[in-house]
Amino acid sequence: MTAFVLFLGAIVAQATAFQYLKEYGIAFDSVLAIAIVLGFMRGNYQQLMIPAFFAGIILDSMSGAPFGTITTALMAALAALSVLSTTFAREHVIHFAVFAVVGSVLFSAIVFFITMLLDPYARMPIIGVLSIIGYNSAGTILIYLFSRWIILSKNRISGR
Amino acid sequence: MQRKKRTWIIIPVAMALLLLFFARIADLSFVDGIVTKVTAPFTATALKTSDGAASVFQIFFDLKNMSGENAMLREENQRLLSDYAQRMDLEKENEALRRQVGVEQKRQYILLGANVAYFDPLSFSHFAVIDKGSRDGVKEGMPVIMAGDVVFGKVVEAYEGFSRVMLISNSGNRVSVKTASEQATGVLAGMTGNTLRMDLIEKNAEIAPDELVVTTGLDGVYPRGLVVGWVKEVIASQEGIFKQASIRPAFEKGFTATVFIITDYLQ
Repeated sequence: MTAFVLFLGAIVAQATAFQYLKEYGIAFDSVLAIAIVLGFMRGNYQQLMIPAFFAGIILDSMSGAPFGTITTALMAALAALSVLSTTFAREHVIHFAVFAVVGSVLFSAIVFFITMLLDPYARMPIIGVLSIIGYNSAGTILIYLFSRWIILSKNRISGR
Repeated sequence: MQRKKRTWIIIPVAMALLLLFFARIADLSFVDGIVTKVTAPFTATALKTSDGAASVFQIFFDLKNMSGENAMLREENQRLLSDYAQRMDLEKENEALRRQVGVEQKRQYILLGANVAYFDPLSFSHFAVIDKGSRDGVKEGMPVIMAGDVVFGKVVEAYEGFSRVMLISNSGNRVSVKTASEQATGVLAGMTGNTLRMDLIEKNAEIAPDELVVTTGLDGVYPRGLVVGWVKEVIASQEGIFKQASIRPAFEKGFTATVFIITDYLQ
């Protein structure tokens, strides 16, 4: 339930507020970021698959991209991260950076591939795709660091 | 246990792929309708709040650059005053000629105001959803502009209470454009990133950086004279008979939450 509420908040932010923080026409994919951070911190990506699936459908219907593109990309990225989490089980910033980059690369690559395949007018320079990957990875790492800082501060206050 | 875990991964991925396939053979626009009806009140409020917050931040940024900008604007103002005086003379002359020939007054748009409910959440595709639809007289193919006659996009899907707009920055939005000096014409398309590309410019056509680019009205969608942007760079190739130019869009500082649909126009 928490994951679903977080996803809904991220969807609204991604379609509205983050449009004003666009750099070079690129908006931050906050739903992807929330999925990567939440799965990593909980150590379980499987539990996120169902809420992420519905978040993907909402994003798909809000987007002009071919229907199902975002859901497929999100599911594939989470499935890959789930497999990866068996190797990188420890919670570490460097490990997380790997997760953020792998998730962003997979998500963007699948969206890019499906869009180019199904939309005859789509024109996306590789530099644009790389910028999207870089922007998403950096943003996801920042969200993770922020979440960790909140948890550590909470623990310090409660004396744990 | 491992098998159960695998099932939790495989089933949603398979469902997503099925959805992608099913969407190609069936009309799923009703899903768009349901989602938009449910989310539009939240997104519209969030967008208006973001728009307000962005304006406040913009004021702070503008304050920082104010003195330099002020000097530049004074200079531009002087130049515009002299242009205005010349233009008034031409306008009078034009009016007299129009009366002689019996031609109607200049172009007129019939505008319908609308609010943006949300923008496309994906960076790859450039669309927006507005809160006016077929019951307000909106039809597919109608052009949408921002304040100052700046092109926003065109309606690609009109539902009952809302419409989907393909933004000018979308690569599928082909617009017939020309430089304000009328020396160069071409076809404009968007690209990922904040750049527009003007293609099919004749190789010997004169086009220079900072020239204003406007619509020609020849594509049958956008009326003549709408502002698109300014020439940023001219890209000439050795081969072929055409050259390209990258265009700095007029919406460079972002799209706004209030737009206008041109429901009809005279030229």
